[in-house]
Amino acid sequence: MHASSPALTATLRALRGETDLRVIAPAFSNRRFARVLALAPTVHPVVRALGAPAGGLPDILTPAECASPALAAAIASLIGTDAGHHILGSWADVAPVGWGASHAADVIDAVWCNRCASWVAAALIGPCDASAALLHKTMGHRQRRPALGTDHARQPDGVDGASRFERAETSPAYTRRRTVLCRTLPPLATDKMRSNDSQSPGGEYAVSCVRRLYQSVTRYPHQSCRYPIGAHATVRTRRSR
Amino acid sequence: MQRSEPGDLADLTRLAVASSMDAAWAAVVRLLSANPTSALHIVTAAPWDDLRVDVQETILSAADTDNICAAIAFTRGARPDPPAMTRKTAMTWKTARAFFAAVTPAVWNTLTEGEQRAWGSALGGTVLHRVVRSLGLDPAFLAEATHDVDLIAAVRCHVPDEDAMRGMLLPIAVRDLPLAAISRTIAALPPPPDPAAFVQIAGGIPTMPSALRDWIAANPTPQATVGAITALRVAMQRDNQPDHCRALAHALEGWSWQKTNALLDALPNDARIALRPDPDVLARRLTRCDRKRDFRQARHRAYRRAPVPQSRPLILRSQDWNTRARPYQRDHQFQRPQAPPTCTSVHPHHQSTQP
Repeated sequence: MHASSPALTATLRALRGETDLRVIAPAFSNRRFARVLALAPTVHPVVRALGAPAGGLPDILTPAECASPALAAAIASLIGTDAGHHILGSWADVAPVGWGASHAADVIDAVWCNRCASWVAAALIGPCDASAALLHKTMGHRQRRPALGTDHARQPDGVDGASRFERAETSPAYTRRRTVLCRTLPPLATDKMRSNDSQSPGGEYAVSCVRRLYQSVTRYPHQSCRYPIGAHATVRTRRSR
Repeated sequence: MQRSEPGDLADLTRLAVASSMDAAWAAVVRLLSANPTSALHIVTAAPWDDLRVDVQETILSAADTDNICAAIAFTRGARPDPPAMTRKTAMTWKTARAFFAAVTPAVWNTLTEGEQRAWGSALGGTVLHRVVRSLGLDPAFLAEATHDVDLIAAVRCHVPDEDAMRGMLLPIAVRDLPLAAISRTIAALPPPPDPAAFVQIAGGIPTMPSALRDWIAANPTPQATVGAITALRVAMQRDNQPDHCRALAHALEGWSWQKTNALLDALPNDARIALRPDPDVLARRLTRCDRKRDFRQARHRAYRRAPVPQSRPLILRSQDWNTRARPYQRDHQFQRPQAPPTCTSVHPHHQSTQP
């Protein structure tokens, strides 16, 4: 029965004007209750803004709300908590560029406590050594590193590693991660954008920046490695071609 | 853009709309001319009015050879009849998506109810945000729309004010709440500006009976709103019956039988049948031929003797017997082959209610 649910109790208190984040934090751990908080008119503006990313609806936030110092402080205070885990994933979609740089230590701690995904932390922190290391951690955990000299691109089911990579690269999860990560990069110069017009609208340049960022920390700098950002990582080497 | 393929058409359209680049529009026209069917990706990626004139003309010029372009041409008034309506085999989910992505309220209102239902059934429920984008914030569409970023963008097309947008999306969030949490959540919310629309969206019913609208207007209280929404939600969901009984008992707490029956009478037919099954149907399905009268009397006594809050879920429990009767009969036939083939067996629940 939900009558005794902590999420419902916290939601009801927030609907009645409660603003103490320690009291209402359980509401942000349940996506359905968080959406009610994001849309209810009687809720405090900061609590309402917290409910939007917690409910998976970051697009509700206006640019002014995203840039609000009160909201930034509230989210920073929830880093490392269960509620923060539910908020940060969607907050990475709309957070100001480099928002997490000033909270990098807390965000990285949250990654190690499994309270934040590595790619989310990298997107929030922005392009730097710390975020590159976080991406490296993601790859290291999800990929069994092949021994040198083996045909590691050939998968057990006979699918070529390259084609598996291409499939992963076009998956919605990869696309979202790539988009979020590319947001963290500095804006492209106008001349650079124009020079890439014939190939793509600047997206490939940003993707190549992220790839170079990751490849700079890989253990195989002498090989031709292609890494999708996130899960389903495979390695394609010169030997396997 | 020179190497773009039909699969890139949606992204290419968004880029062209956002940047107004001639090269992007030219690529869209090139891909569209080679494959008119890909007009579906264009009209779903951007509103019709945002497309450049040469793209619109290319789509309309292919109306005679392509069903999707013909559907779009009908929605824009370039064809008198929708081709998919004259050729039933041509009405596919792709045609319906193109139709709803480009249709205007004026064209939609000229269709008969049967035509509207046919187009709606061909569409499916996963892309209702495009219907909202084209036809506006009709509660009939919002009641079944998925709450996601696409829906937010569609609502934002019609409501520039942020507070009004949140007000339109709030009943959808209430609709997705657990059943047991609805009553306390609504009690903590301020009264909605349009209670009938709130009940329709939060109750998840695409059509609003006039009787229910009148009942809500006559009972403008949060308790009545909670009761109507809970009754609609319970009627739609058939699993986890004990939770539903508790939620219904909580929502209708303190109501008289007269008020409860007035609500049940105002509900849509399928919801009313689900909540208040016909006693004769129950007796026919649950009892032997010679015990039907006893069953009716026992059922009537059970309703009257039970305390008022607990007696309302008995309605649901009766329906539960009804739905469980068939497997019980099937299993029981192996144990009692001597039972008359024209009579159903007595359900154990029924025996326990007999005096």
